Amino acid sequence: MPSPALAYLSISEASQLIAAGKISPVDLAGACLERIERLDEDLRAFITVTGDSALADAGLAEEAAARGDLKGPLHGIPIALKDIIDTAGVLTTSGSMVHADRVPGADAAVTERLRDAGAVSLGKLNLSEFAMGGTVRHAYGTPRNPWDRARNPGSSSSGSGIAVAAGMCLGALGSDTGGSIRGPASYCGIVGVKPTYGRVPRHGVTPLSWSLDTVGPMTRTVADCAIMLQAIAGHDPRDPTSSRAPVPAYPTILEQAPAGLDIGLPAELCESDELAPQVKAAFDEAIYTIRRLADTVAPVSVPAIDASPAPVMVISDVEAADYHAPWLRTRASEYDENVRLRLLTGAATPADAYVRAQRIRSLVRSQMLDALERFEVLAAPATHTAAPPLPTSAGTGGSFGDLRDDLPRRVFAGPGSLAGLPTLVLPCGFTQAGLPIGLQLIGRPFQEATLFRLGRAYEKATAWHLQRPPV
Amino acid sequence: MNDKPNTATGLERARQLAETSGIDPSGPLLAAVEERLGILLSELDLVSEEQLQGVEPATGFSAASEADGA
Repeated sequence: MPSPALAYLSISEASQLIAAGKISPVDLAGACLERIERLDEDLRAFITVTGDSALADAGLAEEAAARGDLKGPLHGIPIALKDIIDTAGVLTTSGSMVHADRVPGADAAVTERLRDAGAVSLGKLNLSEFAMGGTVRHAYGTPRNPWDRARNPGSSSSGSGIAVAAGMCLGALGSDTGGSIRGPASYCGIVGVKPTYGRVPRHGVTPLSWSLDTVGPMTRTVADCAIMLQAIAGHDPRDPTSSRAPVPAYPTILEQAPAGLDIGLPAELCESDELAPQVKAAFDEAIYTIRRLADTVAPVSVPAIDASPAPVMVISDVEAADYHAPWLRTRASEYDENVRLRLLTGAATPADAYVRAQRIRSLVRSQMLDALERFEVLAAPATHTAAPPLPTSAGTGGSFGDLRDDLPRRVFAGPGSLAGLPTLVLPCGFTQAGLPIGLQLIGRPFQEATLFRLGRAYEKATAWHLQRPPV
Repeated sequence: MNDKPNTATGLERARQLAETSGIDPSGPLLAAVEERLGILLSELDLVSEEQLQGVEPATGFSAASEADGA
């Protein structure tokens, strides 16, 4: 099989071929490493490539497969990790010069779980500094969208989105606080799931905002997302926020037809004035398809959604400022200017404003849960536009120079973040310029399986997920 | 909310953090912090006391503990 075809196999396909002895994990890892070598000087998806250890691990996976000793559907599958996820003995920078020489002594919980499941790590992925969206000067090179290199790949899991879309790995982990999986998945034309808060343990993942952070998979198909989430979900005593709720068999459940599901369309998102016309048209077309798959599709109003962007920003800035306080006191000049601005704003925020933000969060959560009493899934565009041009302005204003204009556009990620709800993003069309457009499906707490069912059925009815960027 | 005395205290704290880290506190950064903070606080104020009546602050533990039956 030619190298690009190998690298663009889905996890499901590659897993079956490995189990049948028809492809070699070493060849699979090699095909991905070849693409990283060829493409990444320009795309800047990776901060660290662990090629030698990946090939060694793939060799061990191949020997085990030959013995029939398979660890599961991730056995021998090449993946990569956002560089805020600890990897024992491997540089973990968080995309910052502040952590330029940080080598953890132990793996994060999710790293352990992926390794135990047989996955082969190709390295560590570029991101916005410390996962704070708005980074202008990336310390390890500017990540570029593979669909158009002059465009933003989305933040903060930028490298995760690029690497999966460009066939540099078969799946990746990202993290999502205020949209950091959902945005890059939408802009890069791939599938990503922000799990329910507490579904995936965060032990060993550098925090941005303790009360909002989640870790989740980014892949090219819904089934692959389900496979990766299966491997990383579940309680870990080292993360007190991780849930003991049972983890369903996602890859099995996702094949159940979504007939009978009631789908709500939040007017505050679906009818937003911020939506670009081509995004709105693609979303309307997606809903036309979903009407044929589900039971009921009806509008719903969730008024508090409009108030969601500022609380996400305030909560994450304040919590991040506390985590970063030791470095802010001594090394503030080493941060990207916009990140420093966010951190100092967090340090300056009054306590009553933080509490107000958490109260608004309660209001948003309450109204979202009310809507999800009536509907199993809420559907909306993932972002208001397709990938915008890369930010060119640096300085204290930077991309936050127009915060008043920026906040209303953050409404598409705000409710899922504040309410801690699972959200699946998948491609639902392209602009006339060839940029991907994303659909988001928001579910009830811990009901990721329902989102996978609907997403999988949508994927079967469309071909958007089969499109590849021109790289 | 942004006219309250503790906003000034917060900005002083940001100024001190910048200064101890070698950044000119009289430069544009602190002005940008003040502007950004003002925008965020005024956005929070758009949600009225009436809307928030009886609403307690959320915690990150809410979603996980609810599913655990806690």
